[in-house]
Amino acid sequence: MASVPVGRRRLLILLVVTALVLLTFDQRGNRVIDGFRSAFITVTAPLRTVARVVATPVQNAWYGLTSFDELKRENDELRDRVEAQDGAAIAAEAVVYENSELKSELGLPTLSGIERVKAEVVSGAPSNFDQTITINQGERRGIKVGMPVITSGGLVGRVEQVTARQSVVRLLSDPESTVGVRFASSPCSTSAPASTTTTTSPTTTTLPPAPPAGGSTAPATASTAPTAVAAATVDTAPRSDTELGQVRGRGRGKPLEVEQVNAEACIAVGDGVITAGVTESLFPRGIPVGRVNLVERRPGSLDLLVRVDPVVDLQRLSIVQVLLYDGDAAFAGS
Amino acid sequence: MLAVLHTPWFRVPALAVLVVTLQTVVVSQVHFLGASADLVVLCAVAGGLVGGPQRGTVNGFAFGIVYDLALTTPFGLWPLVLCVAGFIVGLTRNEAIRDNRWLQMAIVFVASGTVMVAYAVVATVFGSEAVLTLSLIPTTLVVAVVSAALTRPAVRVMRFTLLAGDRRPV
Repeated sequence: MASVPVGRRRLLILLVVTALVLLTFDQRGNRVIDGFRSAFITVTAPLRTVARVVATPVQNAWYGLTSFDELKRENDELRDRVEAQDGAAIAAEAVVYENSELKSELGLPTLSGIERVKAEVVSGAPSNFDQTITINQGERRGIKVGMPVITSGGLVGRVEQVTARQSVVRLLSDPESTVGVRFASSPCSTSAPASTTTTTSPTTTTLPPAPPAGGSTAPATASTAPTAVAAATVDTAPRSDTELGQVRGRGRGKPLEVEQVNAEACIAVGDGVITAGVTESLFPRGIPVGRVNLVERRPGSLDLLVRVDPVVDLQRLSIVQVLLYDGDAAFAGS
Repeated sequence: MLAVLHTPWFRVPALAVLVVTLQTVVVSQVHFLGASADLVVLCAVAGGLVGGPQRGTVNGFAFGIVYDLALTTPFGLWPLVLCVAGFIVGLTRNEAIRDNRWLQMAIVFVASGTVMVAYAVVATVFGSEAVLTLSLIPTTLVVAVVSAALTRPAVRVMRFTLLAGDRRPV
């Protein structure tokens, strides 16, 4: 460094300090920076569209070359699963419909009653360290920061930035993403802890059936609930508050982790996970999040280690729906 | 008026916007070993290689600012890492390296990989979670290998951008 002229060193120090100042402002939630980011997304939107149109055939060719066998196998498996689920789906739809009717009679909010905006995914995760997607609907359609984003299968994430015509959605898999959840499953078996055996009525769920359990340290429980994929509505029998938790992303392609789950909770591999929808939550209750793929009781810990496979394939999103659900407004209204 | 179009003050930001758009819309969607290449890192490193420490620093900072505008990661992280990278790579600039493409590729390979690790470390220090994990290994490898492979075209583009109107020998 001794041979580096002083002017160059000063320049480096100046820019490093500038970057640190920007970082500090951003960490404190600076609106100017958010404004610049929104402006950048708006200004470069046409350029992004052109790039996407030009690149899509190239990307498809790449996927064809690198993932053809995998896609074919997956397609065959999915066909088998769809056939197996057709019957169950009809039964489940009837139960979901009945559930919605009962809720509306009681004046309770239902997912199907929330207005939604359909959007196309313009671009996927933009870098190796940023798990977000951009969609082609924004403020003009009533979308606001914080609104939940779903597919017909379940939860995708929440809106992080909004411009007039586009929105950035933070995916569930992003480590900065947290969602309050509860476990939706059949009543606990008799071997379950006493504190969690309070459920008595049957469970209704529209999550897809549990994948075969593998590599788990907890026993899987058989589910007696009817299953279906299509509707994004889940209702469960009342369960103990010990079975609430907070889902956090762990990066691209990794299962989600549920934090703050009481060690006494009655949870098993294959249990469904839905949004908790507690007071002031950004998410309404009942959006499917995923299925438990690992439950581990750690000696000396007050919490269970619970991992969840997201019900939605977050790497291959094309069409999503934004729920026009303003958690704060809903809370204020109630 | 049009003379400004031929200066780095116009060309660097313009190229940065173009490269960041290409990166976020196209390149980031093509995965190998669960990771994607990073053209922004490549351009910042190649800028240092071509322009030396002073231009490398400013070039890295500019690319970092534009990159952070397109992402939701903490604002200022990429400029911090890329301006230091541009400066350090710029210190290696000499005639022997300019004429040896293999040496250039080796520098870009090491520098790109180091930038990814450095970013993960700095992001962790500033509170980002689950960045410094084992998946950083394939990410670093993919970025380093692809950057090294694209060294030649990147150096040409950065020479056109950074040395616009400059007739002095590199």
